[in-house]
Amino acid sequence: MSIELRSEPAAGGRTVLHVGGRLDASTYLEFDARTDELLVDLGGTDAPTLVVDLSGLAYISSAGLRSLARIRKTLRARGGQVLLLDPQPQVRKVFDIVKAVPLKEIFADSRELDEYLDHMQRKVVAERGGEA
Amino acid sequence: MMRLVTANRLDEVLQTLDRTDDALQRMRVDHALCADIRLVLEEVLVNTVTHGYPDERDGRIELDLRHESGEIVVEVRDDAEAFNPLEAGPAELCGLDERDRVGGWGIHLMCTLAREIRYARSERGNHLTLRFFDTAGPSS
Repeated sequence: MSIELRSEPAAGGRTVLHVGGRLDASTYLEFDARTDELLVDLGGTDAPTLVVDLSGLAYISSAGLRSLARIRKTLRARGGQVLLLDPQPQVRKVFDIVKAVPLKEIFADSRELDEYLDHMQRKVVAERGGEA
Repeated sequence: MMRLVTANRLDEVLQTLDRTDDALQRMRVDHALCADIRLVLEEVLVNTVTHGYPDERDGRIELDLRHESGEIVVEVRDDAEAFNPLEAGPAELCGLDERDRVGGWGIHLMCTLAREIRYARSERGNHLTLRFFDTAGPSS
């Protein structure tokens, strides 16, 4: 099984990358190359949010975890964030074992993710209002 | 028992992981356990071919898979440099950015997913024995 990657144009303050198949020693280079392109596209965005939809991902190994760590580190350095959506049980188990991702950055479904992003958006607006 | 043999090249090792999946399915191992075993073997084998042959010589890795007393037992034998993953030390769980170091996550996953790991070294090379609970029970 290989990896399937599909990104959606940025909308609603986020860019979504759908990942399916396996993210492991045989596919992480393809993932890295694709996310490098996305990160370039996000270059001009202030505090970019990348949502990685994992609903189609059946398997992840430490090689895949390192790839997720890589994009998370890059976006955090720009004041942005990587949010993980709907990891399936096998993948969620790996996250839980290595505590690789803070729980607050993993969302079980789109509704939960939307509520979080709406909350963050209102918080930013309120802070900017306070500064004015 | 099923035996799989691979050369110490990454492409062959990755193909062998697929063959291992097929072998475990023929042994009627539960799908989730197959994924756990594949994950542990990926960590072991990729580490072996990446770090175990610094002189880049040709090497040979053997995998034996069998049911035994309600467990799946996987034995990995290689002719690589000596490496005992059990002496690599427990991984420190500090979060994703801080854990981005060679071996840390992989060894932690191995030690968590396998019920038991034993290591032996002889003049023939490394010998790792991995045991997994077979929750679905032996079928052969």
